[in-house]
Amino acid sequence: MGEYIVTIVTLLPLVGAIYLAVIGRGENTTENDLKWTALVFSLATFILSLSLAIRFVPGGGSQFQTDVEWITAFKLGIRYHVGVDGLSLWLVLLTTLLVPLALLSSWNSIHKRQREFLISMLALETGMIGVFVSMDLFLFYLYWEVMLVPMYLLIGIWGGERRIYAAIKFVIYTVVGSLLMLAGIIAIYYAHGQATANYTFDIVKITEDIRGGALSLTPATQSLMFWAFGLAFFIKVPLFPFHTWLPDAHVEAPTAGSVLLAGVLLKMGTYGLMRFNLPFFPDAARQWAPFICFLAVIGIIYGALVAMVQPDLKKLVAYSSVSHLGFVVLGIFSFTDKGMQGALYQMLNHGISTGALFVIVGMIYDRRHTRLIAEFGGLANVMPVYSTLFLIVTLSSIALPLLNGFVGEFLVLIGTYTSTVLPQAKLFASLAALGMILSAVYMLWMYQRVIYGKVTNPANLKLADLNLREKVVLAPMILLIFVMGVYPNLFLARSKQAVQDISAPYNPGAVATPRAGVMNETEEK
Amino acid sequence: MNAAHNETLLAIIILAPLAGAAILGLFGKRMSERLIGLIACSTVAISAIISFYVFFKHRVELRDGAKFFDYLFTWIQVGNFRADFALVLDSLSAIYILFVTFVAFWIHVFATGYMRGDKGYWRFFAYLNLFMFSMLTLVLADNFLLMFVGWEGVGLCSYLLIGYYFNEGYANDAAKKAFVVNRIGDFGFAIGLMLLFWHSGSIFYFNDPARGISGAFNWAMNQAADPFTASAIFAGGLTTIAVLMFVGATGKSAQIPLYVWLPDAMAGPTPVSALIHAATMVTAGVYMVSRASSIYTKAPTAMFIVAIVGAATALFAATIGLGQWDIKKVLAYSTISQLGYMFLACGVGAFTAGIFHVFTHAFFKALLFLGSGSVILGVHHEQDMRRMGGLKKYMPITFWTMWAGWLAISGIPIFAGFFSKDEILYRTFIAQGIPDVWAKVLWVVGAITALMTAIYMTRLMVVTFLGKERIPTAHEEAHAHAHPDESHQAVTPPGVGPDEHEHHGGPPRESPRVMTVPLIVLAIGAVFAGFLGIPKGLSDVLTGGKVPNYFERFLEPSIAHVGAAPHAAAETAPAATESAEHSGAAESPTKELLLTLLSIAIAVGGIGIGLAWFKRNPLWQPPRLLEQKYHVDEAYDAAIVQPIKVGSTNVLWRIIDQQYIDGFVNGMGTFAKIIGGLLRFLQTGLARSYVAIVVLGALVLIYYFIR
Repeated sequence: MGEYIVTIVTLLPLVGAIYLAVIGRGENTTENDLKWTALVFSLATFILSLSLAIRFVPGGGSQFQTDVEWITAFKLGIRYHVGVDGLSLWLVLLTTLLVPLALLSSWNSIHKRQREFLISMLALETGMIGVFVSMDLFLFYLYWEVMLVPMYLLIGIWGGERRIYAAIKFVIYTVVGSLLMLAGIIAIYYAHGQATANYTFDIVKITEDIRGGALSLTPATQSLMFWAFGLAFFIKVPLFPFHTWLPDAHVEAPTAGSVLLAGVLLKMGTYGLMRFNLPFFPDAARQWAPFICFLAVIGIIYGALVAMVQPDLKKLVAYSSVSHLGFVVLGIFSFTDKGMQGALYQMLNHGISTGALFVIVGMIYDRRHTRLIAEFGGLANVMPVYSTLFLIVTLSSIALPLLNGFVGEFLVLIGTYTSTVLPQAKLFASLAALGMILSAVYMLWMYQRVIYGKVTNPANLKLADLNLREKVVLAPMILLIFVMGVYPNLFLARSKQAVQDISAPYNPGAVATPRAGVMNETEEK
Repeated sequence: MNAAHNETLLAIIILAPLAGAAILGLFGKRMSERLIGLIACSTVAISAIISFYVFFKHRVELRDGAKFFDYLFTWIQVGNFRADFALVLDSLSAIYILFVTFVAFWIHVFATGYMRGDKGYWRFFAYLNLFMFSMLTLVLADNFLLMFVGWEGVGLCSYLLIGYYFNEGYANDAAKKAFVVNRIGDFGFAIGLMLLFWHSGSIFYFNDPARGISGAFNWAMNQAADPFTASAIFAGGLTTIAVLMFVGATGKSAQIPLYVWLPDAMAGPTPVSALIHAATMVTAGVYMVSRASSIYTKAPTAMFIVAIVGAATALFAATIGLGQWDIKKVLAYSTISQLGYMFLACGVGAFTAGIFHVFTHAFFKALLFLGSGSVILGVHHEQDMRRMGGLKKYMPITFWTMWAGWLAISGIPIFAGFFSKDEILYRTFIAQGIPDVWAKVLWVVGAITALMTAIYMTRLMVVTFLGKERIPTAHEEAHAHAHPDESHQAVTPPGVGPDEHEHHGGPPRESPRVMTVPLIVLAIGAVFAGFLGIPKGLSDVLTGGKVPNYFERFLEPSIAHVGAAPHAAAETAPAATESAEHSGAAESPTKELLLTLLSIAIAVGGIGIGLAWFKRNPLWQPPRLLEQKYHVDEAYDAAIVQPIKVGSTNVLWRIIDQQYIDGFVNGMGTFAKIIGGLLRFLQTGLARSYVAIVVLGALVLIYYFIR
């Protein structure tokens, strides 16, 4: 059964969603039963997905594959091809970890349509995992679109006051991008079919044929397709200036939605860039890299500056995401193994740290029903455990060494700095490093205003510290923040091969084997 | 000779305090003060004992340039980038861990008394132990990235401890300021580190064949020296690396222009000021520059910048120190000034003299800070010297130990500071590699600073301990505490603020033994530590050269020299570089002796002026400009902080984000709506109009085809 494990992991949440939809319509079923059912399904998914990480062979390429004929009509070559490689492994695990935590974090915060909320969450999980495991473009697109619906519902039904506006903005932004991506998918399908006489949507095959030279696109074609794919991903990331849907979506979404939105959905953009844009369109990627890096660096600085002055906690975290994801994009378009490993690592870090931040904001929102920074202050006096955990997550977010954020951010910076493909690489890296200063400014200032000082608002005097459930939600995240900061090789070793496969074509002269800190005189620039 | 040995005990030096921090952080809340103090002090004691043990065990090899590695695990490895969690003991790190653990142990002991009754006792010592872990990691790291780990780690602990009284707005502001200003410096450090990696392909200091590592210093030593030009700064070579790293040093070691955080950092409890903001952390910049001496000596422009910044900071801070009334602020500016001396030494190539001053300064400045803490406690949390005076008779031990520190910092012979300061001034005077006139200018600046140091320290001693008592009565005290620094009158919520029972007023009194013993120990250090490094000229005259400069001789193999020929084996041949610092033609024992006499005269003169003036006018009002610190904070705020805040709010967020980008998106929505609205009219539901449209379309087509 081993080879179906990916399918099982992907579809188990959906099974849970369907189960929730049909069972216990009678009056005997309490909300608690529903919540526990959903939690059990998502936990089971997580435990099954752990086996992926354990059995994954570093350097073994795409693993646990299932590749069967699917839609045979019209002989389009649409197959059900799923698998996990170094690029997707940790993102799948991030997803399966965050969903149960998100469910647990909003255990008591959903007050209407509990059942539908849980169904949406589980359906969303299937969509997210599906995006990462799809090895077929058609299947990828299907999951990409499927995922949109539950997210739209999560924001639109369980969101805040302006939820309709935010949900529609989110959908319109995303749909504009995905329609172009559909055009891009069809275009590469035909181009590949014409060149190789093998009409297929298979991502692995197309990647191999492009790498092997069987399919070579002209730079002009590449550019068009690059942007057709790219725009969808840049919106999702979001890259400046496509980011304005994000603060609205985050502010309006319920905590669980925000956690998954920031933790997983944004990563789909950067994942797509690494999965498609770089391997498929090398010339276009090289050509557009300076422009994209320019936008990424603007995003880093701009996001940080705007985050600094936000009065709303969630908006602050949302803008900080723009800044952090700028690092990821920069690392990807440095074309170096260091930059891309850093980018991949930063995706995981951001998923955990920002996920934790949204959980943390959600915790005081549950207590006070406000997210305005000015409403708080002095919480260290009444919620010491909360304050301590908040501090750790804050420090992770500002990339303190030995916490997870530092490894990713530093690898991105040094990868960018030493890039020989990206023009003006040193300038980009140096400007991006300003984000290091600014993140400290906005995060510590926010932390100070919420946590330190005297309790000035009487409403905060009686706030209860974290209960057991809330501690359980944060504990795995805090643990990962330390583990990933102290021993990153645990993760990097498994993504190494996948990243090298992507970066190698861009660095033809580079030696693939790592030589620790050794470099001959002859190689100096 | 380039022996790379192993020494697995090194890990314990850093891990013991980490274990202490973890235990106290997790379980400390339920422990008694006694147990907390015991754990905190004993973990540092373990570090200290092992530091002394490995030092004495390997002292001969270390002096001959041997290095002892302790490889724990590979931290980050991607492609050709590798950073290990590995420690190295060489003569430089050996000296550092000795005085850091020694001084820190006694400060820990002092703190168990000073913090007595504080609700956050466990938290305080958890942070303090965490600081020790970070500081020792910084010093023992065998590569720049691990040094950076310690570097940011001490910054974090500094942040936590400055903001220890977290109910106080000023403490939180000071903590945040410290962290952010340090991050500005770290920005430079990080870029310098990346540039170094780009050139050398390694962030390790040294070769370690066992791990297949070649060090960056090896690369640096094989490079030709950069030219002494301003353009070298931007050339992207060794000079650029050195300057960028120095930016990091100006942050951590509080030099112009990033010194502004250190005076505010005095918001932390006084043992913190002694440990972090005087004896250890703030000298990390000097350590880094000395550690990278193989890079700096190839970058004359960078050396020159280091010297100029150091000298300027020394003088600038000394003038402000003269105008402060808060006893801790005086010491803070004094620290900045002394750090300037250390950089001046590094800048003129006298790295060993700089490290020597770090070493002696650790004793006398920690002593002075702890002494001030004892005073502050003795007069019930008063820091304003205007409300002290005549304390000598109440606090004799504090007075006499501080007396030693005072003479040491002023540069009175046989006291520790005399030797190191004299050495720096002499090395500056005979500096090679910079225009001679600059050497003399720097020397004059250093000498004036020495004079001012003696004056402001005398002022501190006189105003605090001598003369009439100006201690307010209990009634007056209520008013006195409007003054913000560490006034805990306002502390009401639970969990923070020092012990309330200390506020009962009453006459000043001497501190308990747990605090006076550390004072005495450090005072002994402040008196005698200087004998380890008696300058050559002095030794020649007084002892016929029989007493060598142990300190310099020991550090020799870890320090590169200006003008050393680029040869691969440079670090392996200490014999060849021995006494290279003495090879300068300008050097002569007579000159050295004359300069020594001159600096003694300066010290004595400064003390004389101070005594004569402040004994008569203890409350003399210093120039307002000095008291208000040249308004630098206000200028930074107006020129940098406010524009960024206002620009981000009003331009980036409100205009670009909300008006332009969102305006565009919503505009697209509106546009689509309008189009849709227009198209709507086509769909009328009336068969007639559809027919009309079909006919119209057919006509157009027909016209198109028959045209």
